Amino acid sequence: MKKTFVFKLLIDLVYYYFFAGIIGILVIFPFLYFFLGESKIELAGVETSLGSLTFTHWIIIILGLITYLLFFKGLYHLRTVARVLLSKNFFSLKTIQHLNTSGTYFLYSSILYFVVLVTSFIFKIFKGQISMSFNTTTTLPIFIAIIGLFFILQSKALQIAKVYKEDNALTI
Amino acid sequence: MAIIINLDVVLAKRKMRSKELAAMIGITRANLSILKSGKAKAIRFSTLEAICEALDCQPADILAYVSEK
Repeated sequence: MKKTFVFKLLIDLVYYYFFAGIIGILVIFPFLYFFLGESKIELAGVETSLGSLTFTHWIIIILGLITYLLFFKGLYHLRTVARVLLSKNFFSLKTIQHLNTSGTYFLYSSILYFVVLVTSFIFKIFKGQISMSFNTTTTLPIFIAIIGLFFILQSKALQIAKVYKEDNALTI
Repeated sequence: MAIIINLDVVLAKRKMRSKELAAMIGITRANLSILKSGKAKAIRFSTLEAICEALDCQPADILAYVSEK
């Protein structure tokens, strides 16, 4: 099935992209912080230098990192689902469990992402910057939450379908 | 399960093998084995009809109810 193959390929691409991001965060950020403290970065929409990060900055960084890791974990489980689907085993327990777990992680990451956005928005107001924009940044956490919930519901539907399939297999 | 399948008894009376019955009614030997062993969850009327026709018997000859209480 070509669609399953493309599905797995796209998930793998996003997975490795995010994995590269983790490596970047773990390697580049400490290097910039300890050796190039005066480097300018944009955090929560406000330009600041790494050497003068406030408590709020750190809260946003840590929450952002947790959001990133939760999303990455969701991708990991989704990758397992894609691998199982590639073997045409649609109704296996592994598919159901990993789809449910992936959806849960996506949901949590979307909630935390929303918290990060709100915190950033309030921080910008306190810095004297008020800006409203119409882009995907504000709708992205909602979309990720929709995807997460859909995966959770889909896993429940697959669980019910698995029971029907087993009953059908034992109907002579 | 409370429904007992007495297919072995009827097959013995008719001196027929499971393999022959499976071929006659158009199901696999594995499925017939599932039916005989009581692991089946349900039986289609079409299958029951085919079995009764092949063995020249009534459904009551093949199926029995035993209360589990």
